[in-house]
Amino acid sequence: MKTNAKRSFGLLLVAMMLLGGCAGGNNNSSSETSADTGNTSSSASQTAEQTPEERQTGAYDEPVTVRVAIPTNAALTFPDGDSYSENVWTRSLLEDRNIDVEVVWEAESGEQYDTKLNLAISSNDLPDILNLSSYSQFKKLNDAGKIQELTQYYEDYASDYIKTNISWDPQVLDWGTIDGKLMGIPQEGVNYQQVRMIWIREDWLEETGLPEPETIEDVINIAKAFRDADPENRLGLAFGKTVLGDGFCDMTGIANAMGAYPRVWLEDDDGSLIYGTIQPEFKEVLAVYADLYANGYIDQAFASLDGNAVAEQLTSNKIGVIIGNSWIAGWPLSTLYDTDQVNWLLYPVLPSENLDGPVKVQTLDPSGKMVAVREGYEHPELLFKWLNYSTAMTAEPETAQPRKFHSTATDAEEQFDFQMENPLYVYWNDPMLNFNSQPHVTAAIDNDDTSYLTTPHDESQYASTKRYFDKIEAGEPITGADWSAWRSWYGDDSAFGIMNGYFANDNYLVSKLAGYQTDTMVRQWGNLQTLEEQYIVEIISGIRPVDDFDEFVETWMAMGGEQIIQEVNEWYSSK
Amino acid sequence: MILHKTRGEKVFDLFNGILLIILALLCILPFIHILALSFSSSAAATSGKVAFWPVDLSLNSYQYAFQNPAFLRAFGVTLVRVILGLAIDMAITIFAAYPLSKSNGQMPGRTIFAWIFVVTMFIGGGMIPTYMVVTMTGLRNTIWALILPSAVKPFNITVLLNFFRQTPKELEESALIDGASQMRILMRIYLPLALPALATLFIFDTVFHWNEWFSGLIYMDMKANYPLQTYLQGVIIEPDFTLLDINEIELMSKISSKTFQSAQIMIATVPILIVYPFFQKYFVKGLTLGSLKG
Repeated sequence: MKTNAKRSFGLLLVAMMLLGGCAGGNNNSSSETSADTGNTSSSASQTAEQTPEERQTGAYDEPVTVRVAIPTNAALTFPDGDSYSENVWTRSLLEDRNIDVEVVWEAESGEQYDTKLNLAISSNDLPDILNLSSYSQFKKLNDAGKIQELTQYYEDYASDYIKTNISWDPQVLDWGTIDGKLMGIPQEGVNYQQVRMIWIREDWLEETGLPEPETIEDVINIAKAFRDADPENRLGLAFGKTVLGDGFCDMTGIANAMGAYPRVWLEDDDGSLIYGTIQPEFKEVLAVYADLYANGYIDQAFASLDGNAVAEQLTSNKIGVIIGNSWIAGWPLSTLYDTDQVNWLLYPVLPSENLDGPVKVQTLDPSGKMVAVREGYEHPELLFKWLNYSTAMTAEPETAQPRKFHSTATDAEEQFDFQMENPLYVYWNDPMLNFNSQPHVTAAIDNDDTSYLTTPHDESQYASTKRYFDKIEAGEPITGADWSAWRSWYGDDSAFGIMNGYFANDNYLVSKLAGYQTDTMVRQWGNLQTLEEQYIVEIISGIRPVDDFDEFVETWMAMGGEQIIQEVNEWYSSK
Repeated sequence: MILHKTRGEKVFDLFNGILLIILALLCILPFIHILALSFSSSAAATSGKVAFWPVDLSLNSYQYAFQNPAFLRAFGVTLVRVILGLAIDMAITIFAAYPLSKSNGQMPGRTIFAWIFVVTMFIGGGMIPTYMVVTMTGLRNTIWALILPSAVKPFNITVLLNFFRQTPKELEESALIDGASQMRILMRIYLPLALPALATLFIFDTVFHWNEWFSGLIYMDMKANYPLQTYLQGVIIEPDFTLLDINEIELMSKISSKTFQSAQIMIATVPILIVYPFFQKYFVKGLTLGSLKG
């Protein structure tokens, strides 16, 4: 009996190994065959024979399979029977370009997607086109030799339209270039739309009888007056735990007004790069916030409030001043309009009384999201054919079919965002598209003449803005969505009007580093940002005196900051 | 008999009572809050007017949840997982615990086998090796990936094993004399006597399969195959505002409807709440009987 048990245990082990081995072997061979059938003609010979036009927009002779993974958006709705793996994009790519998209896996964008992607990387089972959610992921894959060079393919296969838009900002290609080789394409350029402006509740401003603000100090006084009028129920400024950078309840706006640029790498007088958060100007901003906190003008529990919690304070009529981005018109302010018809006045970031020179408003650094191609994939050029196709179908005036590929409303109830159904949700469209729509929509409404509208985008924004005016005329109730369209697109004091003003007056400040990260940054940047946030929260909430800012700078330098400043400057001077 | 309490004891009881009530409230209030949210109108919920009683009573979110195919599909996956998982886990637990409850004389190598099970409670292969095993055995994207990797539960086996040992040996001996096989002894004598322990393990296992979400995320490539909790995790988690573009913000404002999220959480919680009371009486008794006396 004893030997029997031993023998059967041994047999079991052997069986398990065999099973595992066989299954593994099958897997490998099946993926190889599928890759083989995918490419009957070699791409090198094609390049020689084809004209640029054919290369960029031509279809493959045989269907070419490309395996992708998709960061999904749970809110996205599809027409009946469609999904991320089977929709207008996958069907049309196959029909028009002979590109056969195979979705190998999908996961909700953010944490879930990153978990799955890291698993795929560790188990060496990468999709062909890689949708990378951070620059450090991109660098690590490059160092491990898992992605391939794209320099020549970009040159030969990217359409002129895309090249124009990518190189509109000369930094963009630099971010994807490592050691002189183009290894990936950034998913987006500088976010000129992610910039602060001042939002003030119209009804409360009238109530207090204060004049319109001209300096940032006026704005702060207005926020104080709002709270003083009803200290039981109101807070002064919107402020939450993401002290730097979430776009609607952080310190960035006031910092910019005072000449401080947290988290921005800017050029010093001598041409070297310096880091904004550790400059003395930022210490003054901390002093202002510490004072606001001590006097109760920001929520005493701000360090525990996420964006949703601050949004809730807004929609429950607790806050009258926000220094935030354009998109807050769509959410959460439109919700507040739906319940209480609150209108907000908009101003650009106003300068501090003590500021020398014009205001500079900082843009959000690009997210560092990249697309790259797996080493060993036979059709790296397919990435560019796909990107060409995406912009051609949605944005290029001669070829675009917005109703089919961008978005469409079937009836009042259901709106489909086809552009977001694209398994490769990366569009290198005209970076100025949104900004140009604002004067067009405004002129078309003022003159009642739709010939001012030049792009499909103009038309769709015009339609929703027009609804606001039509409803006023007809005396119908205005919805939050109507209000938000009007607030975004109509007039110079609309969100996009203000941003066009920033362009006209040269107010934009773009980080010189933007999408790029040095080696030490890849390792250490997360820790340094945590350190930053920790000191900021503690100084504002009075746990530490403002003078501890100097201690913060020392610690920051010692924790790798000094090394990073050196690396950044080496990189900058080598450009 | 009347117990006379000293003043000190009365004060202690008072504070003890208050403390326990506070703890109980801490547990139940969030639940009531979500319940109230799920029955409120969307506008009232987002403006923070709802505390512990629904405002503008509305069933819209439940209607929406029950019409949402993704939600229903995930619910179905979880049901299948719980039923299959329970059957397999319980069978393995019983058939592993029974022989291991015997002495070394009756079951040679018993100690070694017991150790093989116990060691896995403390040392695991880690996420990536496990993931690769599941992938290479072809289990990924099948319901079995959610069931088989966790089918052997050493903790449950230990509990049941100790319970079996409580059963008087004389019962087994007399059954052997009457000519019963080991299978028959297990089925007719041991299992009926182990009912409290079985009920306890049944609850543990149901709750485990109902709530577990991570394996759904890593072993399922398509969201259509997600179990309920994995689906919910994706819907409810807070988005990173800095990374959203204007289209995504608009979409988010639709789905982040608190009432809809709350309704889904309620629907996902209720089945497990219903199971509890039925097994409650075994629950406490079963665990103490099995483990403490063992």
